[in-house]
Amino acid sequence: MAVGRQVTVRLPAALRGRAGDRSTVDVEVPDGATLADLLDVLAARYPGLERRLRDERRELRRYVNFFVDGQECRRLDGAATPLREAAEIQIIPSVAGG
Amino acid sequence: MTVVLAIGTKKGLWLATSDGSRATWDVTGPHHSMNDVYAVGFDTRRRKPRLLAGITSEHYGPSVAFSDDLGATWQEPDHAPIAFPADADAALARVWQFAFGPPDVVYAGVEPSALFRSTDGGESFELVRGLWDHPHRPQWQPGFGGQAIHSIVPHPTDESRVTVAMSTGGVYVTTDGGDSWRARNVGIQAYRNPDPYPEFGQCVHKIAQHPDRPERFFAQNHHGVYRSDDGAETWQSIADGLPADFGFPMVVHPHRPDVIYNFPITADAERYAPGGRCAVYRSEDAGKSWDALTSGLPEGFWNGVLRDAMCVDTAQPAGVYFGTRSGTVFASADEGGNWSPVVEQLPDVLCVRAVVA
Repeated sequence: MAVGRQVTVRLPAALRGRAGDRSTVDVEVPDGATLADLLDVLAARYPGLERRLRDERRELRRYVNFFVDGQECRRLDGAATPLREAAEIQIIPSVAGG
Repeated sequence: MTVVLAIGTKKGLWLATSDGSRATWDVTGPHHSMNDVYAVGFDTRRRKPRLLAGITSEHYGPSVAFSDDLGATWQEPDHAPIAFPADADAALARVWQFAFGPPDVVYAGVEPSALFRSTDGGESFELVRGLWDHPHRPQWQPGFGGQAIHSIVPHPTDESRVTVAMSTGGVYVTTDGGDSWRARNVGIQAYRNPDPYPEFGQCVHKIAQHPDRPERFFAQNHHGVYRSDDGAETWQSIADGLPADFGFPMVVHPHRPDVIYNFPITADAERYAPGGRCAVYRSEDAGKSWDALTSGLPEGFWNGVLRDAMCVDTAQPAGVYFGTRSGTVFASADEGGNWSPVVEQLPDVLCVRAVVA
């Protein structure tokens, strides 16, 4: 039986309504899970949230940053970044727009 | 009588409401703040009109929202209303157009150039495969604003016939419900192209049709204004009498099929009204001659009007509306004779659509 890991996702205010008005969401992911695996779990639970984080090719939206334990995932392995037990994933819109 | 004007901008949607006089307007907004709103549409086939909005957040991507109470409340499905299937290897960038076809179909034209079809009022859409799989598609190129299907003209009675236009690519027609599509650009010039009259690749900016004359189309091209009298098989210039053959909108009067409206822009390289004079041009003889409509419109107008930022309502006499890239929306309650502002100093106006409720 796969061992699960608990991770915590912190959401920006603009997206909390897509997750039952929660600012944080605790998620159990399989041992060895990546950020992409986490987003797959979120897609099943909160599809209206996940589609604002990834497009239909499952690519991370360009102007959304995903900090995995404080490091933006694109400086790590992107969506393939592995998640440790009790990892904290902070989702923050990037500085963009005009 | 109540008239509602939906105004899509780069930073949200505004709604202006008036009575039959269309002289004063109550304006609410922004709805969908900080989303660009490239497409709005009123589905008037329902008991209460449904307002559809194609909204795109720079951060969180594109979506379709709808309102069944003229914008008082909005709904957005949890699922993506429009999404490319996995094998298409494409992602929706934004929705550029809604159109309503018989019997109960809602079409959406999107970027990258594709046509989607809904049979549940616009809550979920499916890719029209026949156009997506067209052998020309790899050669369609983005115009300055992106590569998108921006015009959709369903035949008013024949549900198997739909005409679309895209920038770039040109005009395509299906006569079998979307299974197969044929380019129909004969006579439309391709600007800055080694072959001035290719089979496809033209940068058609907008096409329009009156439902009482479904064999006739009007087109504003990237330089060139055209009419077709044979179901888009061939096109003839109707630019004589206009101060410039560049521009974006092309709108047909709701009740008089020979009456069309256009907003000329100086040139590809000079994208403002000729001489800085804000002027709508109207033809009452299907493009044989044109008259400038300027009463109430400003001079010193160094700006333009985008392809979907002009529309008409269905009242008698018809209202005509346009929004500028400098954020002013003008209305005429007398078919273009006199104009007055509906609202000023909005963000760039991307689209306007009116409904008589």
